[in-house]
Amino acid sequence: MSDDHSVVQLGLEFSLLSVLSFGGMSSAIPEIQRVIDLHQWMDAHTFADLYGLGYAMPGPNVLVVSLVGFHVAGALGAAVATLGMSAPSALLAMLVVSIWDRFREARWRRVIQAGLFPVTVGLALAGGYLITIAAAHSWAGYALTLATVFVVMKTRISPLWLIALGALLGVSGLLT
Amino acid sequence: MMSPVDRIPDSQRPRPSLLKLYWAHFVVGATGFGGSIVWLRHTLVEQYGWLSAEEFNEGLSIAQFMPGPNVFNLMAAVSRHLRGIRGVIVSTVGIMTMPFIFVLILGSLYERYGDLPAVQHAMHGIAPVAAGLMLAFGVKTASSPSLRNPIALVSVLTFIAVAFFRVSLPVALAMMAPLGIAIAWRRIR
Repeated sequence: MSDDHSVVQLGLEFSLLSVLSFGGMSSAIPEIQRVIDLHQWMDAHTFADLYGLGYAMPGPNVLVVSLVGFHVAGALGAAVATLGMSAPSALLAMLVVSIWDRFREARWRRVIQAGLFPVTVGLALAGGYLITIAAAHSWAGYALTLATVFVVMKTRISPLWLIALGALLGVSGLLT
Repeated sequence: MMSPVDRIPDSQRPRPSLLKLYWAHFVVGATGFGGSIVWLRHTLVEQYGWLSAEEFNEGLSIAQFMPGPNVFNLMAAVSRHLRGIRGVIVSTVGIMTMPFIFVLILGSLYERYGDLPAVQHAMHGIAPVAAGLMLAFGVKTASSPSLRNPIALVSVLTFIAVAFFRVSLPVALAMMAPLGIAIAWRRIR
């Protein structure tokens, strides 16, 4: 597989995902993992690692796409994947703005939004499930994921601290 | 009908230069750990007053209604108030400058040292926490009051199809969106 070829594939796959990912990035995660499998871009553990790295840096949550692009085809891959994921939907959003006032209160618009919402919830949960499976290297990994869910639901602690704590626990060798 | 959103009259709106727009978004991108939208609101509405709160919220509803990453959709949706398409490009490049440099640095480090035991061990801790953050987000949205029976069934079916049967997103949407919309059609007047 030549590098040019994978850059083109990155652009095509993420442009398609851009206009299908209702609910934003969290809805896109299962499809990103499926596409990665399909093209054999990386194994599931590597994708879970990149997903984790995306949390460890500042910026929008689209960065997991940039990291996937970088892993597949370097800096150009990162740029193409990010642009593919963002530009088509942003253009659509710009087009919709001009007619938004006419239909924002329309029944059909509210029906579509309400009808898509449960789909986005199912997609986000599926993404969480798939990343959990991919991230855990032992039962301790699953326990850490569960503990994180619990802490996030019960407290207002910044996710950054939890990521740092996870890294420390990992380096201590408890999770391997 | 609701009244139109409370807009800043164009004669009173501060007109930021493209450079200023770039810089404001650069700072948001460089500091916005854990989601940039909160920081965008603070910067555009409170700090600079380029947008009214209503204009920002309107942009956010459009961004969330449309597919794609919410942050970029949001910047596109408010562009008519902020220097149009040139403003969108400048803002997007601004918000991504630092994060993209981080991608290049951390990505290279991962490619180069990812096989080292210490790095692998750290990732074995970081990835499960990130998975937990994603799962918690899913659980939080699933507890939304608008997700009652029978529409919650659509979430369950979507989850099973995508998580267990690895159905692709286009197919999942083609199966589940009509079902969800049909149920919503009966409920929403």
